Amino acid sequence: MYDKNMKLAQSYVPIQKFEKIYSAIDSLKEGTAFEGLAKAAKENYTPSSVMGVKIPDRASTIDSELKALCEYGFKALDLQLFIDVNPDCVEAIEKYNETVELYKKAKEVYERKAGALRSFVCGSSDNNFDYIKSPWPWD
Amino acid sequence: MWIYEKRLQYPVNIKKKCPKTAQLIITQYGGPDGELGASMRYLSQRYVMPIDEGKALLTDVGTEELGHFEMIGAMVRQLTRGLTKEEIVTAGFEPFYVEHGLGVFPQNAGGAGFNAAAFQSKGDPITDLYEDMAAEQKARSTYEYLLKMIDDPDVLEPLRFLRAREIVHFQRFGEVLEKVRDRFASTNVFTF
Repeated sequence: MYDKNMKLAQSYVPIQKFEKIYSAIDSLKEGTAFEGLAKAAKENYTPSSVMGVKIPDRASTIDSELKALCEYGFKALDLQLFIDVNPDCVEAIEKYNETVELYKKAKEVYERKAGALRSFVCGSSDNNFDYIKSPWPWD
Repeated sequence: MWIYEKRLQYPVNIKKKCPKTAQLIITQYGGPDGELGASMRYLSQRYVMPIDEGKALLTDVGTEELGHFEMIGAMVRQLTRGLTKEEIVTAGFEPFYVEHGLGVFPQNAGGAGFNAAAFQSKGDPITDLYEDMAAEQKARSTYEYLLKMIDDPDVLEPLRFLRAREIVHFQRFGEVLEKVRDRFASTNVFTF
């Protein structure tokens, strides 16, 4: 593991290359858009007792428009964190832009049904005052 | 500034009340390795971060942590909404109840209120990044302990999501550490 460029009294994290990424659906399910990091989450860290926990797919219990919004929003966010650190990665930026477009569409669909998601000037609904309507996210 | 988006980052829909579980997960709301502390840590450390990549990452992760803070708050609410006296007494939830009713208060699992002394903003970006990486590991451990103590799949699923985020953030902070070190290899320019 020792590389000649490494120095004593430092710790090192390998720089991630932009490779295999998940669909938006799987990104939300795995907690990351990156296959490599999902693998790290499973292999490198978790005691076997935690991995043994069976978690049924709750997808059917969640409003499908909201679910799509969360999926695209989350994939875009995780790509953004990658781009923060790798601002010159064209491939990541392309994927990010693609995902943001899908997010915007999902947001419009959801807002037509549930009311404005934002109260401020960037709210995309025609009538921002429906922002106050229940349910709120914790209801 | 910040603008609120009226949704959770990951959907939370808990159907079964459980004050005992609420009392455990509340540490990720206001405990030493919780989401509130994480957010305040990163958002406070931004000011001395010398590179743009680091400023962006601390801002965006600090913001994401606020979203996690909201998720845990929603979970605590759904686990305690409409509790009866009997349910409170059976679960040993009385100490929380007499202080906060069925409100959501930032505290650790043992009842101590949120304390900024659990994190640092040291003015040295290398030191801060090491702290951030340690913080992500501490939060990951906490989520793993919670996963072992809890049985309700409606609670487990969002907790597993949050655990995975700690690993992603650890990786990103490690990458920024690498970049800061590279760019300021020879001199210590941070302290003065």
